[in-house]
Amino acid sequence: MKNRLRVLRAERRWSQADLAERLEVSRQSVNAIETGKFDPSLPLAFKLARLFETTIEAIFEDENAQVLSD
Amino acid sequence: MKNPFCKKKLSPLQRQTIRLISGCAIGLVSISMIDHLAGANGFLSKSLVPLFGFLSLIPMLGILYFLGRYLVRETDEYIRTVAVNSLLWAAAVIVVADTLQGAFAQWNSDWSLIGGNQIAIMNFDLFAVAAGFAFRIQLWRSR
Repeated sequence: MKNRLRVLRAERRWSQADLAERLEVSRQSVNAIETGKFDPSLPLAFKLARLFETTIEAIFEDENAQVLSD
Repeated sequence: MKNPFCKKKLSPLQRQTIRLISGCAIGLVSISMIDHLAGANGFLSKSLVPLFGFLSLIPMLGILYFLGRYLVRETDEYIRTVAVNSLLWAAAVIVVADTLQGAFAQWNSDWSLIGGNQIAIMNFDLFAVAAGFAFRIQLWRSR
């Protein structure tokens, strides 16, 4: 799943370690989410949305959304 | 250059689990060695042989318990996924090792000397080591 995590993090000039500390996860988790290797659970996605003061949809792009709406 | 296998990168729970599992693995190897050496030299009476089989169950169950305990207590979902992945890799390593050992035993009778609970003990030690390596390699890949 594509996401804007790297962009949002860069806007705040946070390192992966900074974000990991705020989310209370490992830095490897942040890296894995950013690179699309790992999709976070709903609670972690909500946590991310709260942290960046935005919605989950604004962070994560649902690649199947178009297919479902057709 | 930072060492990707550095212990400082592990969480306290991971360090504690590695210590506990390593302790169990060392215990398993010790029991296996005593069993093998005493058996080979005839120091063990036949009635004591099954006792070592039961003794080796303690560290084996310990390893399983500490693995389960770690998975339950790990709060980081990505790390938990990596840990489960590592356990599956370790299981695959055991299957391959056992298959190879079986094939070599058919080819060369010396390999068939490994028998009884020694296969189970060897499998468990191999499982613990392979899972540890797979875990560290996967974390290193998402460094």
